[in-house]
Amino acid sequence: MPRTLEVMIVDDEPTVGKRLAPALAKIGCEVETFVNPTEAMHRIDKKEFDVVITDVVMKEATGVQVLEHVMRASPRTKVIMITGYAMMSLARDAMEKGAFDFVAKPFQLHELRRVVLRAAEALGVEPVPSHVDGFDDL
Amino acid sequence: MPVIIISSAAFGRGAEITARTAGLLGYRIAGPEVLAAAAQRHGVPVERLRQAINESATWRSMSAKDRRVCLAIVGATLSDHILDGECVCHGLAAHLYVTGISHVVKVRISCPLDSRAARATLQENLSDSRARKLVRRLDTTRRRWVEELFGVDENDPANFDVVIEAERTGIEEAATLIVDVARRRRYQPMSYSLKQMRDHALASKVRAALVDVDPGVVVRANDGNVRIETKVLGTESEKTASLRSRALAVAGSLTVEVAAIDDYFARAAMSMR
Repeated sequence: MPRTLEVMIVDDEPTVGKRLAPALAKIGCEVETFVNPTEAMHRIDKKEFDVVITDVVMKEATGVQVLEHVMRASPRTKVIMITGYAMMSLARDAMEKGAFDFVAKPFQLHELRRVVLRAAEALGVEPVPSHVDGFDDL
Repeated sequence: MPVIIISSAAFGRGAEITARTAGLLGYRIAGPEVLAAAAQRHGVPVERLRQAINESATWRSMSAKDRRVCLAIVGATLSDHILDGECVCHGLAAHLYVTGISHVVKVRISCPLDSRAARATLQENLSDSRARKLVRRLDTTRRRWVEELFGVDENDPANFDVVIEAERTGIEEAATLIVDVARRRRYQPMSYSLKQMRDHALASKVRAALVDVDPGVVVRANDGNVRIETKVLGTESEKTASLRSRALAVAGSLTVEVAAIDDYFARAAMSMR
């Protein structure tokens, strides 16, 4: 079904949201960004997102806590974990708890776009892209 | 889909469980044919590779250096087989050198000495006492080189995701248990683990290309960028240049960084001569 994909980005590093949001908007996503995971979880209680992209290591709460919160509030939401501290045990635990994918930083924007599009496909949503520009690192 | 690595001691039913597990999942088996492919690709006798992994029943042993070379060759060839997943590996010591990839499930099959000796009696046409001696000797030799080259104890359950007692469960139940574990979400491929697998494959191939120059070479890869750590006496620019050019010749290598580490002990030993 063609429609806008509702995406939340949670990362306590503000530049991540600032760079990801426009890149995802170009493939048909409506993006809300949060630097505070507690505020993000409050928002998840009020709105059902299609995709939540969350950092793992944050000060207020961990990405795993965000994942668990999403799984309780909205099991259909696809959660993509991103981290610069990727470890096998962490990745396995995240997948076991219901993460859709686990991506190690640094990654290229087109890699994350691809993961988001896979999540959309799994949800049966066809986001309508505006246009796709060149590749960038994050 | 995941890769399953099944490890077992000599005469320990690993091959039977591997075949049944692969059958249940519809996966390919990476076994002895990988040795043949590796031997052909690198121009070494297949028997040499087989000896490096399984240890022959003869008293002739293999040096640590030769074994490192052989394992690097086998590892590089195996990396192609496991890259796309849906594969069960056995008999290649893969659990020792395929590490840190979350969709690789490592299984240890344990089996009591009595039943292993009984199988050795039948398969090798030996008396009971000679079969026991053979099994013990293979265990000792294996334990020594695994400890020397990898610093791990294969009987330590901490090195595996699953440990199964084959005599108690039987082949069918052991294979069913492995299938159940491999289907769990935690062992499914993800972007991170697929990247780890690609990096592992490139590092393995580069290592195989360098190991005859430096058996102790450490190779890491990250998205086509290769880092080589090698011990040198002084600067030894010839050696580092050779490693760099060989590494760059491996398909998939985009950049190569060589970190030359001063081999203090070798230099001290030379100065005392």
